[in-house]
Amino acid sequence: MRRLLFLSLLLYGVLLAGLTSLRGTVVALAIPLAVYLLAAFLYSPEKPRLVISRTLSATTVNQDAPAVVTLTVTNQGAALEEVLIEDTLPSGLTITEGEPWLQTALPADATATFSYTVTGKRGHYPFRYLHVTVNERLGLFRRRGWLEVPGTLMVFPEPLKLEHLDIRPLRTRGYAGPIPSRQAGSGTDFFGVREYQMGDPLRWVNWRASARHQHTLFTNEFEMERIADVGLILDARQHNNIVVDHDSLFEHAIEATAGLAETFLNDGDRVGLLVYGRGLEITYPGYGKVQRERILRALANARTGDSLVFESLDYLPVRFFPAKSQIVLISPLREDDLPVLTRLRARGYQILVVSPDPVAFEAQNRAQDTATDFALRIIRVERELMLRRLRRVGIQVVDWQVDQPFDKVMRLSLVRPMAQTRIVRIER
Amino acid sequence: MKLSPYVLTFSTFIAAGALALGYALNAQPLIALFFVALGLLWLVAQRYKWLPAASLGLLGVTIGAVLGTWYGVKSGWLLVSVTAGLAAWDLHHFIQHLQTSENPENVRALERAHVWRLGGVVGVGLLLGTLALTIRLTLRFGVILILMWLAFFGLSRLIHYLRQESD
Repeated sequence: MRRLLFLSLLLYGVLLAGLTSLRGTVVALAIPLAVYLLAAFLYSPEKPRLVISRTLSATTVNQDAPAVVTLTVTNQGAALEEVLIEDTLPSGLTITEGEPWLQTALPADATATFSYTVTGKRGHYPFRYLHVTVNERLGLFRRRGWLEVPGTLMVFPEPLKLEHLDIRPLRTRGYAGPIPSRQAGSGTDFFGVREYQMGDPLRWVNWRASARHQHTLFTNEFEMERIADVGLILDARQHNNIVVDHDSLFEHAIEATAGLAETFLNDGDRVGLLVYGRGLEITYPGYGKVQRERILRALANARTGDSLVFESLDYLPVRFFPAKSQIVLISPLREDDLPVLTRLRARGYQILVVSPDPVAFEAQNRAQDTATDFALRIIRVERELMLRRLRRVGIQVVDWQVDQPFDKVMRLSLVRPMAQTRIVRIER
Repeated sequence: MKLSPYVLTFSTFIAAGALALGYALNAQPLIALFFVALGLLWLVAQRYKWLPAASLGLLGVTIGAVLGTWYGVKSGWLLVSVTAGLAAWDLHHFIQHLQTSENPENVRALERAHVWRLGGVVGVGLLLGTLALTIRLTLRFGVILILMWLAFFGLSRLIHYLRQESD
């Protein structure tokens, strides 16, 4: 547009100079400019009729995995001498290959395709508009417009690798699984002895016990192994999050949650997720690969929030979790979270707290001086005391320094599943 | 993109060179030197991809050509200079417009088409300009007034069109 204006003004300037000075030579000098302008005007583009479709090589990818965005443009109108189609990239995605635009001539009914590869961090990336610019070859006359070509790319967090976790909720579900159910039945672990019943396999007969009684046989019982309900709670309260050099503690918590969800789902458990912070973002319990995808989607969308309502864990929707099920809270923890967790424990929930250590995380880049060291020591002691109080009420606590391998920390912390059938009574 | 930079350099050289030569042949070496300097500056600006230099260059060449008619410089040199300046102005913008593309096929096709169109336009402009310089018409004052009115009317229509486009 500026070029057109400049050339027009120049042309009129020369023409006026020629006419006012009555010099034909000056008017003649304006002729090449006028021809140029006229040629551009004659070829000025019509309103384009483009049909554009967008395809993504995958609508869901893992963090930093490439996804190819392909755009196919079909010209259903008159031939376009030069068309520039620019895709609007959602912020947070990085182009690793190709370019998100195409500049070409597009004859009538012709089709052109262009593609580019993007990678990104965990998140939800909606593609929406394409910017289309059509101009004649000299580039003076242009038409611009936006075309809506929607598409969505979901980048899942990278789940931390984790082997089987030993959990022992008070109540299990009816299907066979890896979790001891505290009930006699078919299994591998010895559970008890009962009187022989018709149909019991002979190899289950407890000959030692039977030998003590003349007319009675006894049979071994085994503990049934079942699947369990596991409720994951991800703490997304803003004030619990720490960011050091673009590295967020919340991101580590998300990766840990993804790893835990994957492990429990691989074991066949019914897993639900609650992201607590910005609001209550609930993924209802379910099984298998579909549930895995649902949870990863929820985690991909998870953001920290500073809602005043959810500042403390008081509004944790307990009814979301089946009674006496396993709850796994992934949180850096605060002092005022203890009463809520204690109450949950008192209701019969088996609670595992995975706590990314905020003190160690923040201490990484702190300048080492006496005051800082002293402050860190105090905070560490406070945190250790808080974790001890949690352990004392029968809550399993994993204190995780995020620079350490999650799998190793979990294995060491949960080396012996706690036989915590003790119910804590709340003192009033 | 291979062709356009060469044509651009050539056009700039011709634009400044023709004007400088015209003034030099008219025994005005200082002005000729000024236009040589202008051409060199334009070439440097092209190398450093400074886009406003294109418009400044064309403006300088056109003003030089218009002033040249007062100084009695041969009109052929002036016409060639303006036409070449126009081509350089166009290509300077075109190269900036295309330089970020990574698709060589598209770039080559667009470049070829552009240079052809520009060549045609410049050729016709030069031809018509030469014809205009050789034909002599005597216009009455009334006709000149009408032409001036047409010029103003055209300018107002153009502004109206530009406003519509920007909406």
